[in-house]
Amino acid sequence: MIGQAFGAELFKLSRNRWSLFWAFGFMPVFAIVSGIVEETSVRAYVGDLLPYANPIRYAYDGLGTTQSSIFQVFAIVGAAILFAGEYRWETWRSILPRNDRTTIMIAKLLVFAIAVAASIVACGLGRWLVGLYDAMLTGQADSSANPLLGLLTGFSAAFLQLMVTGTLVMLVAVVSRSLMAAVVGPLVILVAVDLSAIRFRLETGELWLAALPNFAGRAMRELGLAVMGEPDAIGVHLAAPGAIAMMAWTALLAIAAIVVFQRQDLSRE
Amino acid sequence: MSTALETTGLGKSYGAVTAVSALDFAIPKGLVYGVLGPNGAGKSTLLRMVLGLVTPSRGGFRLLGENNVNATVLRRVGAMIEAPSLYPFLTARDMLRMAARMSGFKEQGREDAVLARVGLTDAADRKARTFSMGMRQRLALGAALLARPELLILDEPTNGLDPAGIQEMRTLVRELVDKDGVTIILSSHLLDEVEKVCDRVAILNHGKLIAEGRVADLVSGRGAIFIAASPIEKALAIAGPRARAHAGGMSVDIAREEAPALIRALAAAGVDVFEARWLTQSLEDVFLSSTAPDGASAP
Repeated sequence: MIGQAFGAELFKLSRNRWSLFWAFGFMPVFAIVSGIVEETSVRAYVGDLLPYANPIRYAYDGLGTTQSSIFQVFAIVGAAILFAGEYRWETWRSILPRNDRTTIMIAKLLVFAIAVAASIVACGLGRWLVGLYDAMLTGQADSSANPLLGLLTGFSAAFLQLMVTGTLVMLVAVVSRSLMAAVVGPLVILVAVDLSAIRFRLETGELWLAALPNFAGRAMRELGLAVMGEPDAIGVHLAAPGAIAMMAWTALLAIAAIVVFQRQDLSRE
Repeated sequence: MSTALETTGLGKSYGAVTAVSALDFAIPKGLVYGVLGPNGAGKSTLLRMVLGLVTPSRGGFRLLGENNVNATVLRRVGAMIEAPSLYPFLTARDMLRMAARMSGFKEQGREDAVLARVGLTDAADRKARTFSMGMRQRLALGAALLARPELLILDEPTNGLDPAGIQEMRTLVRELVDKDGVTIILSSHLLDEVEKVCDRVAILNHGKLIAEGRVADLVSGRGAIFIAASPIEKALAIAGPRARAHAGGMSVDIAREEAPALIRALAAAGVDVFEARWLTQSLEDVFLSSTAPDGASAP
């Protein structure tokens, strides 16, 4: 049944093209366009800052842009459409008799994971293309050590951080039964966490920071940089506990959402 | 006869409010079963419990012979509950494709056949957001029919349909039962429609089952005979306290087996009997008298 629910959810999202673009397609497009405009402008007005370009490093930075607050807002919208759309359009009563509640929620989460993963990869690819463009302008390309391992670490950092955001939206959507609340609630939490994080610094290396997804994500990104041979990576020892913490947050929030949904009376969606 | 749905003390409460009290009834397979009741009677709650959307507070039910009602059993049921629920960004055809995928149902050309059956072939590639209420209703019915259900649950299926559409819906409902062997549970406020289409009905009020039976029995079960006779005063005297003047004759509350004796007595006393017929009532009369508040009577 999970395959059937997954197929149906994927089909639904693929047909909701406007939402699909704004939630998961806009940032990669923005990453390419803004990058090309930026490189062209810098070269036109400042000249070559570096005599070479490193497309792998560009791709790595591209993966990292998905962890920015702006990107997270788009991901929140995408998750809200997936998890709160059935309440918005009152369609639970159409699909629930056709499949199992838990299965449908897991299918939705899988679809979100795939969409987010594709979006992150597209951002990385987009910035890699910008790096190639820069290399073409400068006439010289450079590379990093262990590029695949480094990129994989960067991808994992972005993916896990967005999965925490997505499952937070999932829980708020189920509890509130509202598309608006599913967007605004996690957004407020995201801003609150970002603001409170200003008081702390990854450089202190305190272990508890790994429990906060934004610090955990940053620590993993730093690890990726270290893997690729960057000498000034900080807080690398928090990467592993950070990854575990983000997986735990994802599992905890998803399970909570599924448990609430299992017991939810849909007398009105 | 096997049952499509059998409830045992089935009930639902929201805090102190009882939506459905404790229902005990059985719906046989192979007929159209009407569920009637005023607003708030518990019809939708009952149907939502059956479909797994609402968890019962007490009691239980067997659906299509199964005690453990899970998604596998519910896939044998098609449902259209309250207003049609559709994804605005999907076309009619895509809506059916999505429903088929979610149900794990595969049959080549089934979507087009269903669209034709509900009269939406020309609108197959239009998005649901552009549909009128009647078209939305047809598409929701199509989605319910898609996976060839054994049991079809229709809640107010003629809402938004024009008179021709209502007639088509009636025909379709009867065809599904008489030709395809589908069992249909139909909830409606349109009593005339229910009377025309349903074989049996249950009347709910305040979450309780207050009447249940074959439509023919309910509308004829009043136990009164109308007799046009002359002189009427003499006829009234012979019939006794159970008789009252009624529309140029008299109506007498008697059991069916007492009627021949009464007519013989009238004839023996020299009363001319011009007409004798059993008084029937419409389903609306039954409904209104069943659901009238205590102390009030139906008009």
